[in-house]
Amino acid sequence: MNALSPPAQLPELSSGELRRFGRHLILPEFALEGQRRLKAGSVLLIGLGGLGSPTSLYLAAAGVGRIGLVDADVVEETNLQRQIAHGYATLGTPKIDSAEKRMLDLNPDLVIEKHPVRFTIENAVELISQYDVIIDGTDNFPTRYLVNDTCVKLGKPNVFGGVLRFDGQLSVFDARNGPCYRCMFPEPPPVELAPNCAEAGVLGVLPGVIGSLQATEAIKLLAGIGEPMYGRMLLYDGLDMRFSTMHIAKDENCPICSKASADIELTEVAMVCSAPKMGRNITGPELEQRIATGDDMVMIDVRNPPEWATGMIAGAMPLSKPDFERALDSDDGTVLDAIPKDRDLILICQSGMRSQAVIRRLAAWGYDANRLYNLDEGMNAWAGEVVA
Amino acid sequence: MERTTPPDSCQQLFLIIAAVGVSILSFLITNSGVKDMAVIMVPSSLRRYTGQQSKISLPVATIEEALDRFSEFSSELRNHLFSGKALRNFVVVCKNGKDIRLLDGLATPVDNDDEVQIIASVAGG
Repeated sequence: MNALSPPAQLPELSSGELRRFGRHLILPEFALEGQRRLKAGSVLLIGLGGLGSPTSLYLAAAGVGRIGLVDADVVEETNLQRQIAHGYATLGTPKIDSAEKRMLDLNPDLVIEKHPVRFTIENAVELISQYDVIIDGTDNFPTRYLVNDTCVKLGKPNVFGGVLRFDGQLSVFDARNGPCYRCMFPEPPPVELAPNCAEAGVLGVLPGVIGSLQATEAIKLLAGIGEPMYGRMLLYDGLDMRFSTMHIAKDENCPICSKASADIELTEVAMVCSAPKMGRNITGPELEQRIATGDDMVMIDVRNPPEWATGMIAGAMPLSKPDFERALDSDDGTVLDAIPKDRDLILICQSGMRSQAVIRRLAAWGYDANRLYNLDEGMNAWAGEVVA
Repeated sequence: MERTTPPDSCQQLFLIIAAVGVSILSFLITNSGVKDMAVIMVPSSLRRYTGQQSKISLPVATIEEALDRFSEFSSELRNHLFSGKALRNFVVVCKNGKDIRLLDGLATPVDNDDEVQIIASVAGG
């Protein structure tokens, strides 16, 4: 069962393409027609990070005719542990330029369309409508729900991949042939239960595994071969080295795919925090100002040791959230003595989530919530000086 | 040709007692609340609650009971899986690879060696 019909007129392959794709052409299931269908096909790749890196390279190398790239970020050194489409030579340059260079090196006949923008409600329909297959290589829940809803509205297959720590997930959501992403997960988790890779970590090769599988599914859809992963989700456990497949249910009352296309309204999925917020917020510039005036406050960085090594605000006390919680659980005076109750405490983490959790614990312990400050968006938004 | 000796009455009595004993024991095991062991497959994101164990065997009769027993590891884990009595919207549970929504939901029975998989949505890319 395949969602894509071949175009009436398939393009011819040049002698160079016949040579380059020889290993495909001798696959009886693939053969010349599969290769010509790839050349006639188009893919929109949303996100050029860990998943998008292998996907972009394999789709280029395989001979897909036209690939759209959506990403607004530039290459950073911390990307290179897993984002293999980029390298030191392209640090600081837009990811779409960095990937384009590698992709054209693999397939100079490829047509690349660069979209240096964030994927938003304003551009979602326009971008997705131009391509046959959509690949979700994004890194956050709101964008994933927007990709899903737009694909359902426009009747496009959504090749889904997700990774965290050592676990990966893969599926092809196509509401015409099975469940959509919302049938499986109607809502995103609350913020405090949804750590991202920057906070929870990810084994570098993991998006390589899942991204390569996304490329496989996209190629199958375009070439019209095999059985797409409609209604199934592949789970990959890198620690136990186990692949398993789940059969997932289509929800007849799905808020998106049970509706007619014209009735589907694209909305932004907000990430909410289900735990009550406590303490006060302080922005990066406000904290810089207080540091500059020699304010008598205590800053505590509750991230983990490897994160401290990437740079801390000068003068901040390193005390990881697990150590902090152990001290609070055990009433460890030696740790808590260093955390006065009569001064303002500034709690710092990478994105502001863990520090908020520590604030809740401190308030429950008896610290005055009005003297507890959470650094807004954590080190992600800190533009001031850091020390290693 | 070797001839078999018929068992004497003492041996016959012993065999009858043994057979009755086994039957009673078997009846007791089947009907005394001894349950089958289901295996919960723990995703790596939840292993911090289980001392990094990837599989937990639990003597349970239904999916609901399996998740209830599993949640005893930590109140934080229970909060991750349940909102009140209902499974959270971002958690999918499967029995032997099939979404329990395609079966009998939380009331789905589990037998010996059934695998219960917990899938939490992840957004990393």
